[in-house]
This record gives sequence, C-alpha cells and structure tokens, in this order.
Amino acid sequence: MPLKFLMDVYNTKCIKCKGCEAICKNFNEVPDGVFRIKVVTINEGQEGQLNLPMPCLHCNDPPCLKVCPTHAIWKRQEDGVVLVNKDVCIGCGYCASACPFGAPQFRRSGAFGLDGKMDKCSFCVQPFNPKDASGKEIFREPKPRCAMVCPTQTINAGEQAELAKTLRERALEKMSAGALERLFLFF
Amino acid sequence: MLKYIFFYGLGEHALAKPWGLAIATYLFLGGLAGGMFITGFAASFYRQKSRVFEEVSKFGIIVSGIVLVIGLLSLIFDHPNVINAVFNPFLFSNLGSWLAIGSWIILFFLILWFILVVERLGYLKMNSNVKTGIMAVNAFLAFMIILYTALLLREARFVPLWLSFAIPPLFVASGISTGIAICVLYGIVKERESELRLKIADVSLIAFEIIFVAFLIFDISSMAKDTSFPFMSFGSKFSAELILSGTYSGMFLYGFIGIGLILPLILYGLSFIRKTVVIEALSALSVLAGGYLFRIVIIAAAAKAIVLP
Repeated sequence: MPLKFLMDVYNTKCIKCKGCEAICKNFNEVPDGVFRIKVVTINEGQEGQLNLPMPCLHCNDPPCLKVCPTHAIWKRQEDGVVLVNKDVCIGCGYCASACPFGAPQFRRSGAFGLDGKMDKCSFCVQPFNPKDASGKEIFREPKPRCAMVCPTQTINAGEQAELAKTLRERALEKMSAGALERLFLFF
Repeated sequence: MLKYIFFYGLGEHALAKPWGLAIATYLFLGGLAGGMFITGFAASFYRQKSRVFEEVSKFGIIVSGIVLVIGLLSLIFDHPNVINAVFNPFLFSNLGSWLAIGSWIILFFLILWFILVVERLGYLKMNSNVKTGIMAVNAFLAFMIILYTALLLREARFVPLWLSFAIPPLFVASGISTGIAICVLYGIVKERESELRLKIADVSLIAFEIIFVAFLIFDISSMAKDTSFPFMSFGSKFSAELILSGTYSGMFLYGFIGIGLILPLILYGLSFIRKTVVIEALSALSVLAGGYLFRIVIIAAAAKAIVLP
C-alpha cells in the first residue's frame, strides 16, 4: 500500500515551530542549504495566513521521475516511496523545475554553481538505497520523523487508505459547519 | 564577482535556483548553433551564385558546433556533475525525458558536424551526394536541437510560463533568426555586403515571432484567469506581472520586443530602401541581443513565479 504524507491545515494547526525541519536535518544529516521539509507561509502577516509544511509528497505519478534523464529517481515497489539513486544522479536540476512542491533540493557551493546531486525527502528511509555486503538492496521500514515530532499533528504520515479514512471522518465531522472547502489534502 | 553576476544576476534580477543565467546562455547558444547550421546548409545551395553565400555556408557549418560546445560548457560549469554524462552518455537512459532525448540529438549532431569539419579541412574525401545527405540529416538534427530547447522547458508542467503553446514556435523562430543574423553579420565583416535572401528570411521570422509574442501574452494572461489549480493561476498571474509590469518588464518589453524585434524590423526595412552595411550589421546585432534577452526573461520570470520553495 502506498505511503503518503497528509498535511492537515484544516484548522490552520501549524504553529511554524519548525520542529519538523530541525528533526529532519538532524536525523537525516541534511547538508546546509538543503531542506527536505520546509514550512512555507502563505499570506504572511495578513488575514488568512497559512503555514504549510512542505516535504516530498511521494506522488502516485511523480513528475520528477518522468523527467529525470538518467532514471536516478525511482519509486519503491513495496511502499511507493520516491527515492533518488545518487550514484546515477547528474545534478541537472530538471526535477526541481518539474516538481510543483519544491521537493528536489540542490546544495550550492560558494558563490556559484551546484556542487551536488539531488537531495529529497526519503520518508526517513536511511540511506536512500541501502545495500548489504553482497550489494543486494535491503528493505528499511520508513518512519518519517517530521510526523512523529509534529506537536499539533499537522503532518500525518502513513498508508494512503488509512489517511484517506481519517480525512473522510474529519470531513464528515465538519460538514455541518460548512468548512469543507478549507480542507487541504495533498497526495 | 564576474562568476557571481553570471550565475546569479544583478540585484533585483537575481535568478532563482536551480536554473539561472548559465542555463539561459545554454538555451540561447543551442538555438544559435542550430540556426547557424540551418543557415549554412541553406546557403550551401546558393554558394555558386555569390561569394557571400559561399562564406556564410562555410561559417555557419563550421562554427555552429563550436557555439554548441560553448553552450554545453556553460551548462557543465553551472552543473558540474553533468560531466559524468559526457563521459558516459548511456546515463541518459530515460528516453521519455526531453533532457535525455536532447542530449542524444546533440551527440549525433556533434558527430556528424565533426565529420563535415574534417571533410572541409581536407582530411577526408567524400562524394558530394553523401556530403549533402549528411548535411541534410544534420540540418534536421539542428532543427531538433532548437525545438528541444523549448520542449525541455515545456515538459516542466507546473511552470505556467513554460507551458504556453507559444514557447516552441517562438524558440524555433528565434533560434533560426539569430542564426541568420550572425551569418549576415559575418558576411558583412568578411565580404562587406549582405544577401537579400538572408534578410528576407530574417524579416519573415521576426514577423512570425511578433505574432507568437502576442499569443504568449494572451495565453499567459488567460491561464491566470482560467486554471482551476490555484498555484497555477497564481503562478501565471505572477509571471504575467513579472514580464509586463514587474522586474523583467524592461528586459521583455524594451529588450526583447523593442531591441530584438521592432528595431531590427525597422533597420532591415531601412536597408531595403538604402543599402548600408552599418544598418544591416546593427539590425543583426539587435536580433542577437533580443534572442539572448528572451531566453533570460523566460527562465528568470518562470523561476521567480514558482510559489513554493
């Protein structure tokens, strides 16, 4: 069953504590200038301000995967997590232009140029493509730290069907209040 | 400092990562190289008739590959890991991606171009029919290189400015037009004269570009209103504002449309009335400047309009 993130901005719960950014950086040893998850603020300082944590949403049909010229981006069959093979990535930046959520990240060195290969949210599968001594790929259970640490449960992660069920329940709860249109679901 | 300006631009005109001025340069030089080869190939059919066509044919065919390599160096300098693909082209295995398709087209173009250059330098004897055949195939590849520079952008489906249907015809027309312009310029420098056919071709392409620029503005404005995807309509609106009244409006309206389209049209018109090489050289230079500014605006305004990080 595909794994997904669900951002619950239903009650504009995110308080922009950036705990998700901090734990992600710490746990995944993310280099400077790269954000595998970033809290984006829309309409800052205005009425209707919305804080939105943005990791990779591990799309069912990822546009980054389609445009990658070297097949460096791949979707794991077991759980649908989108990963990058850094041995093959040439750091062309095409995926960054294709992704609507800004998930592919590139580190810049010095005043110019991109020094590295693409880096993105791995649903906390570490490392990206773990292999044993014989070179065979090892399956690692994904446990997204951002969802675990989020104090307001804005970020939820898990199986797509489970998340959809939770979402439906919440929607039914609030339908009478007429606030369904404020519900955001990203797959 | 120079490196910083080249890759990030100046102040307000700073380009958003990860694609910046180096990519705009690559797209411009790719289009220019394709246009030069096509012009050189077309001129080779008239080389018996005039000395200018003879020189333009030689220049267009030989220098096009060098221009393309300079463009590739600009790309590699900004994205150093791309060098891995130069040493191992089979890394480009996803033939559903225009970046991979374009890279293979460039590779085949450069191989055929090298054969033609070796033949021109006299190290290889070739039947004239075979040579014309190779040139025709390479002219098609040159056209595909220009088209690829546009389709490369169009494939990024969440960037509204690049999604417009006007982008591929504009890139193709602009690429061939800049190729003709640099060949006209070379003919003037070398032979102190220009050919009427080349000027007519360039004027026609500029007129074609003007129509598609109008369509681009209409398209991007309508996208800002009609799309149901809010980020898309917001991005379209932001892009339209950036090129029409915002940061890049000067570059787009005065630079691309003014210097790159209207001015050469007027100057070419004047040169039909009174044949002066200075006016013709100026019009060719303005076409080249306009073509480069167009790529910068298209990359920069799109990158700036992406809402999320």
